[in-house]
Parts: sequence; C-alpha cells; structure tokens
Amino acid sequence: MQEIEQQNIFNHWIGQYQALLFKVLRAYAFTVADREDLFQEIAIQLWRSVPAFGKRSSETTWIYKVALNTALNWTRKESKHQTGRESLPTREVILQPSDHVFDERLVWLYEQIALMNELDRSLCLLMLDGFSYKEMSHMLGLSENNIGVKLHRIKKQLTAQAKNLAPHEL
Amino acid sequence: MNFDNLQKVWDAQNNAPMYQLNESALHQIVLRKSRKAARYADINDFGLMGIMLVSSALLLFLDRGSLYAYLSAVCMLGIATYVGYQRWRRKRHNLAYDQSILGQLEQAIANTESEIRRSRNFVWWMLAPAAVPSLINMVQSGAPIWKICMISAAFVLSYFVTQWGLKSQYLPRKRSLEALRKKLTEALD
Repeated sequence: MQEIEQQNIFNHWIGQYQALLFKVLRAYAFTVADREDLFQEIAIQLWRSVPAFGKRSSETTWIYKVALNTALNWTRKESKHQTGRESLPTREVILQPSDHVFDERLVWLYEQIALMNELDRSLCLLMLDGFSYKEMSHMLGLSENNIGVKLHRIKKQLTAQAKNLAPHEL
Repeated sequence: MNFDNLQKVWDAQNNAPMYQLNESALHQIVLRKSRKAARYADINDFGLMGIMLVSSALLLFLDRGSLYAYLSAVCMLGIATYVGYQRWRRKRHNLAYDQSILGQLEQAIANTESEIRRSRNFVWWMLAPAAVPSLINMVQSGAPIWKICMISAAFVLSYFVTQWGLKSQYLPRKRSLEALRKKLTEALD
C-alpha cells in the first residue's frame, strides 16, 4: 500500500471516529498529559494497522479494537511514560479541550468506568456503544458466556451506584 | 436513575466533541514516531547483517585460500540470512491486527519469546561455530595480531549488539506483556 493511500484512510478514520477515540481516552487516561500521550499511541497504531484492514470487520469495530488494545497496552507502560514524559509546554499539543460543558451525569458515568479494572472498562464502553456479545467476543477474545456474566455484573453495579446517589448529585 | 437513562446520557455525548484536534500536528507526530520505531529495528537488524557480511568479506580477503576461512564465511552469511528471515517474519506478524485483543497479546508474547531465544542461542549456535574455527586457524597460521584483533572485535561487537537488543527491549517487553495477560485473565475469574 502506498503512503498516500494509507494517509487518506488514516485521515478519514481520525476525522470520522474522533468521538469514539475520545471515549477510550477518557476511560483509560486521566490527566491532560496522559490523554495526549495515549491519543498519540492510538493514532500511531491506527496508522500502522491501515495496511492490515481487510474490510472483514466494520471500520468502527476495527478502530475500537485497535484503540482498546493500545489503551490496555498503554496502561502497562504508564509508569515509564510518567518518568520520560516531556513537559507539556515544550511540545506540540494535539488535543485542545472544547468549551462544551458536559452533562454531570456523563462525568459521573466516566468516573464509574474509571473505577473498574481495565477489562471491565473495555466491556463497558463496548456495551454502551451497542456492540453485540458476538462482536465483543471477536474483538476481545473472550467467550460470549464470559462476556454475558461480566456485563450483567457491570450493569447491576452501575444501576445500584446510580440509585445510591442523591438526585442533586446527578 | 435506571440503566436506560444512563444509556441515553451516554448516547447524547456524541453530539459534543470533547476536544478540538490539531490534525496537522498529529500527522507529523505519527509519521515521526513510526519512522523512529522502524529506524531502531533497522539498526538492530541491518547492523547485525552488516557486521556479518563485512566480517565474512574480511575473512575471505585476509585469509585467502583457507578452508577455515571459507567455512567461517559461509557460517556468517548463514547468520546474515537468518537475521533477514527473522526480520521478514516479524514484519508479517506485525500485520496481525485482525486477531482478538487477547490473541494479539498472546502473539506478542510468543514473538518476544522467539526473539529472546534467538538472542540467547545466537552465541552458542551461530557466533561460536563461526568464530572459533576462524580464530584457531588464524592463530595456527601465524596471522598478524592486528588481523586476529579485527576479526575478534567483529565477533565481540555482534555479540554486544544482540545482547543490547535482549536486555533493553525484549526482556522488559516480555515482563510487561505477561503482567498485562495476568491482569486480564485474572479479571475473568
């Protein structure tokens, strides 16, 4: 594949699926610097994955899988990033926070996701974005039964936490 | 608030992007980092292949007509070919993005283990069989000390290139990949 073709596909993915990538960032990285760092890692992996994308899966599934895989791998290297990170003002910033004020309930939901272990975070994102058990199974390499059990627990836990909150907190 | 309400809150976020993306800066970073990673791998692979090719040429040039020199040169060319083959295999596996996330993790661990094995076996199965006969022959035939030193230095250098790759890249990578696998599989219990 020629670099120009690779670049066109990459540009299309980044333009079209930004919202999806930001969700993964928000679930796995919690500081401005970490989000920048993780976003760069995901972008690099997406770039490298372009020649392997054979349209056997949808673009959404492919991009989600690459992003989640990168995020999981990034968490294992996070301590290394902390020590070797350049300070933010000295490097180019690629993510500028938007002025939009987010729904407090959404902020709360992301906080709950952040409290989960790495695998549950992936499952929760995929569930909320409407992926079927079968798709999740192909993406993650787990059995559909396993996924069903885990998602049942996650839903139950989230609903219980939401009920425990006073109305003014949401 | 029930789960359906949470789902509605989640679905509504797609209309408001969280960040403005600086796409041109992103492109530059992606290209720069991809090329940098490729450069590191190139240094390791081509460095080793180059050392082997130059050493075998040197050996044939400095020790013309000797059977030992021919044998050692063939061994070294074999090593260079093997490194090239491993590089080609690794590049093919790097395209295995179509596996599941756990599948990719297993694959990454298997690839790293194979690199570790290669680095560890390199001395015993490749470097020693090439180095020992050629050095014995040079000593027996009374070759000048500078020739022996040059050939020895080439062998020592290729040993250190391999060990550098092992210690700085493959062993730490294997440890962290296994830690991630443990974390993910434990989460299933």
